[in-house]
Amino acid sequence: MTEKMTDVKPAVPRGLYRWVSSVDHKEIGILYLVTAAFFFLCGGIEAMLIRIQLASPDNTFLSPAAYNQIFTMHGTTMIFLVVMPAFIGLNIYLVPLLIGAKDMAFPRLNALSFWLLPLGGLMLHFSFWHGGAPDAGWFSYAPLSEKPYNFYQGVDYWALSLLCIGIGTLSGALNLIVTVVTLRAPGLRITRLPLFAWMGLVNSFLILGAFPALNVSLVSLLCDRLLGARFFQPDGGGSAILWQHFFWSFGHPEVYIMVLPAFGIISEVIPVFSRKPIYGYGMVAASTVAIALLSYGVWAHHMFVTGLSRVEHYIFSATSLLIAVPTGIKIFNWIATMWGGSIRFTTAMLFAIAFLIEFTIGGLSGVMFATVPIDWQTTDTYFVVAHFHYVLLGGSLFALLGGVFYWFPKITGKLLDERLGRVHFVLTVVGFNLTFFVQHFLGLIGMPRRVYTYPALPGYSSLNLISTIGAFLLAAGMLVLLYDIVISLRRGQDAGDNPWQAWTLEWATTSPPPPHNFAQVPPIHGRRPLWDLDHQEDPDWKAEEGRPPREMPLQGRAISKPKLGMFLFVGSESVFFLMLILAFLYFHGANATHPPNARTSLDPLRTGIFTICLLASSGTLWLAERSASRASRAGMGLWLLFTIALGAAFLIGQVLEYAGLFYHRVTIDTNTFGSTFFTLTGFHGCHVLLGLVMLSAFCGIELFRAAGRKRPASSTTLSALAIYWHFVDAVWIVIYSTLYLWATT
Amino acid sequence: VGNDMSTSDLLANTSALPAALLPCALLLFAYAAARRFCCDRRTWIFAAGVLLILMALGSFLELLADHYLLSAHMAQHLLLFLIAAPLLWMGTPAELVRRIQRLPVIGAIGNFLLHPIVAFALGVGMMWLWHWPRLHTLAMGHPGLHHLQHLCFLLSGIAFWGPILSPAEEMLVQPVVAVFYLFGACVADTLLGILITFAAPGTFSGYALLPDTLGVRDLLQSHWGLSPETDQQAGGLLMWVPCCFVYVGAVMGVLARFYREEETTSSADAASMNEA
Repeated sequence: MTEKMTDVKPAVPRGLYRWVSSVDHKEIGILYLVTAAFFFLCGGIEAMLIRIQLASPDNTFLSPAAYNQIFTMHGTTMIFLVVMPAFIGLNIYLVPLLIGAKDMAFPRLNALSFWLLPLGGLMLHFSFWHGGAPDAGWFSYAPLSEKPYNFYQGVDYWALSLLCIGIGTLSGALNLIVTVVTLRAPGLRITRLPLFAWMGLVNSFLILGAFPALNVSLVSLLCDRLLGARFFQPDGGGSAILWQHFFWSFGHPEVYIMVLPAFGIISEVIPVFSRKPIYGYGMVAASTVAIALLSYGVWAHHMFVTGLSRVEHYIFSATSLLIAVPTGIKIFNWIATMWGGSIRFTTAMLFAIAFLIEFTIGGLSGVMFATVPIDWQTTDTYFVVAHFHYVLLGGSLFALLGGVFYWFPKITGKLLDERLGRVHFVLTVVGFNLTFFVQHFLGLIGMPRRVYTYPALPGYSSLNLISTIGAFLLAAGMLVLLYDIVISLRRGQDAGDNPWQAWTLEWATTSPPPPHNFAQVPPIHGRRPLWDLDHQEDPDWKAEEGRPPREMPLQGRAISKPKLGMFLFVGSESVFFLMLILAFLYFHGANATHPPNARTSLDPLRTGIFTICLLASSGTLWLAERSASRASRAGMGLWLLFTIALGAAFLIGQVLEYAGLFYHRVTIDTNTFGSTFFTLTGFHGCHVLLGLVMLSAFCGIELFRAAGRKRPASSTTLSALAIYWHFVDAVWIVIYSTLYLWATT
Repeated sequence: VGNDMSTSDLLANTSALPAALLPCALLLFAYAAARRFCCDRRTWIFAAGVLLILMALGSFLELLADHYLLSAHMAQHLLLFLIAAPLLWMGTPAELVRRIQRLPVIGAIGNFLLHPIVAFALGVGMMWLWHWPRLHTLAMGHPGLHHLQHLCFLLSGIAFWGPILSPAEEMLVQPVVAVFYLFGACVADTLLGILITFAAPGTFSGYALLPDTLGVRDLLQSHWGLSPETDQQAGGLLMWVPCCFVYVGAVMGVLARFYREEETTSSADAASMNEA
């Protein structure tokens, strides 16, 4: 069988070119993981510099300016260039294997998603040579991040690189959803998905909803900094609080984006090494959805000291406390899975257990922060630093390390050395707790975070020194892991297909898997296909017998990949526009008495005429689609040309409107009306333009094909384009009725 | 203008009760008659739903909602739409639903309203329509419109929850669709909640213009701490957050059903495959 497979294998490019040109999900997954490891080294060195500076009071190892840059870079790097890419990389490597697919749904989009990551990372670090790295914190609070207070280009690089990484993350999430929905092996229902894949799926939806909020924040900030807009500058009528609302409405879901994949890893590792199926599969899966949904409604707990009203305090405190419930359910599920199992304490399992403990500690201090008075006392102190490092290092990173030990044999074919693994584990756990547990006390006795040094107050020096010693142990632990990886790759023990006797599909193929993943996907009758395969006399489904058979409703109509992808893209874009519209409404009240505003500057009638053009173009596009489905190429081409002409007419109308406004000195830097109006309608105009480019390209290709008498294009491309175009129209209806009809009265 | 009331006087005020009692009693009687006065678990759930309607429309909440507080209006609205309507569905047995569906005119209208797309549009649409500040202010001073508003909330609530909670399984939407259905409603309500919470103070200013017939305005503002601005924010936040808890809870319910189905059918499905 294998010989036959090697025969048909196409010539694969070798060396560097192979990696650069690859569209294979496994190679791209490895690229993600290696990139994340590289930036982990960068972020780790930055962390060590911070700890050296803070080792003793009144230290002058780093200047205040350098310290600000380094703690900003540390946070940004660890979140956007380490934790997220590492989890996305694992998802991209593993999810197609877990669901028995050959590759991702859109392999080339997959490559694009990855290559945006190093581009963003390089852009971020290039700022060091261009006036200095960003220094306003990973959250870039306005107005500190605004031009008058932050003159160098650091924050510009920060915003541009995060936009770049964010777009890559969004396309990766979209790709993952389409993959899981359309490419599952026969028999693998949604309710039978391995939990790692399920959490990857839920996480991808979370990304689609949350990252547009980041993108809106970043483009508004860039408009402020580069074009003189007024979004977040209080002295220009803007609102620094709006930045916090925008940023944290991304930033809090982001916390769960960094934790849900960790939950997924734990849900795979614990059952395998306890030799028991997961306890309460449905509870674990459903509570993930609860966490994802609730995570959108808790962001204001980052803002308890910004002067929110009493009612807002009550409500956001309640929601933040509530989110502990589904998380707690999961913890109990994992403990119950271990209960009574025959536990094998491999390094992966040790990290999973450590995760349970450290993450629970981080969760408990999180519940404390949800309580407003405690938050008032401890916010902006080292207590916060301790809290989120317990969540992100003791939580996310420990799970990730567990995942590395668990899946390294599958990815490389070699087992990691377990003895070195234990050394690494002990150093990491001891170092981590030493570094961060004392920071709880530092915070409680009042040491503020983000300061480059501190005076020799009682307790400060010794606790900080302990923390620094812990950091060195942690770093030593990481070096041991690096050594373990190098030595195991060189002369590690061969892993075989299934070294852990695990039950999910990725272990059914060779280690590392062949380019096509599976010679043959095993039959799937339940949640543990390999268990059923090995224990034919005692499969899972026999244990669940006892009820009469029942008709199962269909799992939903099959949907084409381009259409589903476009629906997801459009859904994500609608969040983007929604937030820009909310920004307009946020300032509308204040602008009503201070012209220029919508009433003085906008002409509903003239724009209404051009609006009709845009709406008509949706109709003509529908007619083009109908012609395409009747295989009438001439009709389709004609209606497409009409559509393009109508879209172009709308754009001309917008240009005329802009020219008139500029003539009357209404520009993006006039006031918050100008800022919000031009950003919103400008981005909509860009979307129309992009739609025109895509329709023209499609039209051109069709004409070319007609000349060559080739077969007509599949109508799915056109229907995917049509979804986009109708979406752009629908957004305009909302914009027109809000800005031109409602706001002008 | 009445004399000043204390909190306990206000909570015990029953002046709104008589008007609400009759329709509630009629509803309960019709239900009992249709079920031939048999009494089981579902009857109690249905009765609880009716009791909640009575509480929303016949208690001090109605007085406050009618004349004083946006937040009380919102609480009333959420009780009707999000709690009473689901309870009515859970309290109705499948045969009764099917019997109503077979009725000549009412059945056809009901089937149309319970189509998932119509039901969703109706639920979300009513929510947005009645909180358009101008219409809301109009309904405040106008008893007829005010009652129509309540009826709309209750009926659109019943329509909205049909595809999720109906005891007749053929009416239900698929679990995955149901998750998006509920999440979509959650997003729509969140958006409206955000708009109300962050709207300029005085957007729902109508309450301040109404006469203080019960003499409780001072009590509400100084003792309950509900100034017009706070009241508006509380109204928006009620629409935004507790609302979504109900939807998230319903999503959990749907998923629980979904996973239970998997556990009962996978054995049957594998067994039949083995036989073949």
